[in-house]
Amino acid sequence: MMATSEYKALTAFRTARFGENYPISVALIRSQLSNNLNHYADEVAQVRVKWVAPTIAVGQIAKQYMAPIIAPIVANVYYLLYRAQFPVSIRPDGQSYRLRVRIGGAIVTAAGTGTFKCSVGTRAQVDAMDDTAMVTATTTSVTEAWLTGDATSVILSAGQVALLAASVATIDTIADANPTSVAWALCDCAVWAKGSHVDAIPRLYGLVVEEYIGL
Amino acid sequence: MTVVLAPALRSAIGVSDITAGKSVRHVYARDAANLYHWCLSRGAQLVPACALGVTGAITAGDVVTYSFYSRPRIQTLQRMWFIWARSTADDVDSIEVATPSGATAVVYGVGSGLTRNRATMIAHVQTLTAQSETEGAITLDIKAPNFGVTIESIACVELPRSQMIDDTVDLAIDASGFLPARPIWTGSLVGIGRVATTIADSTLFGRRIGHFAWSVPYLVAGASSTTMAFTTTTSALFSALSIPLLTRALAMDAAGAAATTGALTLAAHSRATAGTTTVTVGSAVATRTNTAYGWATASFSADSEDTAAADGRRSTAWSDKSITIAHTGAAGTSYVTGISIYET
Repeated sequence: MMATSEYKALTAFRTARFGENYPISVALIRSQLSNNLNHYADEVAQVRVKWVAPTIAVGQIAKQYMAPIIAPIVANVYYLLYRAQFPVSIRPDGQSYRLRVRIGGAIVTAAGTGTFKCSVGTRAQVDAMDDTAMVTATTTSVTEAWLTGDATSVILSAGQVALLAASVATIDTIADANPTSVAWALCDCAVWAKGSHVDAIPRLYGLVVEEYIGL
Repeated sequence: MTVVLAPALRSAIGVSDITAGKSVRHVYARDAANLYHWCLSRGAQLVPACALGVTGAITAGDVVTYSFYSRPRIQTLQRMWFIWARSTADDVDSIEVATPSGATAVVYGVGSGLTRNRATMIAHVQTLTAQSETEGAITLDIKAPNFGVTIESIACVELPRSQMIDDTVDLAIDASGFLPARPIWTGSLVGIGRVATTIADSTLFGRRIGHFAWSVPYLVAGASSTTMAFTTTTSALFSALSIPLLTRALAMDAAGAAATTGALTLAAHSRATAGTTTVTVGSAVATRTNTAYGWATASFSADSEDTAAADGRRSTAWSDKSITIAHTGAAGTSYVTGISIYET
């Protein structure tokens, strides 16, 4: 089972059947209302990270990759290339929605292997390159490409999600003078990369992290 | 008017006990109401996190303006911007952030720029002045008052609601009457009737809004700028890497199969010194002939998720689409400073 809805799609919906004086039938509740609400909730998964590096002269740099900013670059030392923060959607079982991860990368000189690790979790976890929810991809090419990782998706366990719980101040109406708070699970994502040789400097050319129900 | 608590946790409607010969109990309506409110209240990602810092640092003293394009949710009251920034100096610095462009700026500290490990993730809240789901630009000013600052990443997400109103804007329902031995529906504009009316239109409910966003400053100190724009006089791919695009899987077709495609909108922020600027994604062509910056939009179809697949990809492919930027017509130069792809 990959979804919570019975039919994994919206069923034809007749709004008029929910009008005055219609009885609430099993078919209406099960095949239309329940299925469709479950399916909507499955598909409300959001795209959290998505970018690619532009190719030609944009601004001061010809190619807009993310590379280590510390010189000299040392072999086999991981450098932080990218970081993002976003709320993650939570499934009814307490785990996160599945996160599809795709890494685009290359190395500067064909002198070794570039290794990219995309870690998702709490800030402490991604800072520590925790491998609980991580996709790893490697390349020996100097041409940027989407890399084949060791997985196409990761998932955060209910225990990890509990660590992401945060409360944020918000309002309940426009121009509300009495702020309240709302709960969400705020997640960090970071890409670390290393080269096996000092000339195999890793460059990050794209990153995708998008939610999918994927039970 | 009833205030309805918006659930922070998603429920699922268990349907195994909803079978012929049994009465439909009020608890299912309760579950349906909770799930309905969860979908309405949790907020969507308007701008997926994107890397922008490599377009160069913001010069000390300058205010730069970014523009994105989207169709927000009407339930949203506030947005949160996540900005990852670092100083260009070996020292702590500050930036001033204003949303929308021209609003009162808020000052944040940023870390040294000599290593990304010391850069700062800023969470900036934008409070809206009205609820709206109208398509339009979402703008952001950033100023580096002291040293230069590199903006490495920007994202924008709608803040979830803690409670909603059962009116025709928030579209919440009053589920307090879903009790044993009482009817679970009382009319077309309240209770389950309103749920039915709302979810019948997938363009109003449960949208996966932002699919792709890229923006570089088009205003520097209030003046139109081409410094960081994607520039071409002919035709060029925006990126060597195509962009994976998977929409929501929505309605079944007449044969009972789930749809394999969905609709997206392309928006491009551009100008041309003469002639025409086109930005193409799939069958969508966003065209502008204006010499001043502005947005143009076009719709196109993309693969939808395969909800029977373990990771949702259709036939294990990422369903990539490339972006092409072209200058045509009279000799001149095309400048593109923003591309957004979103669900309407």
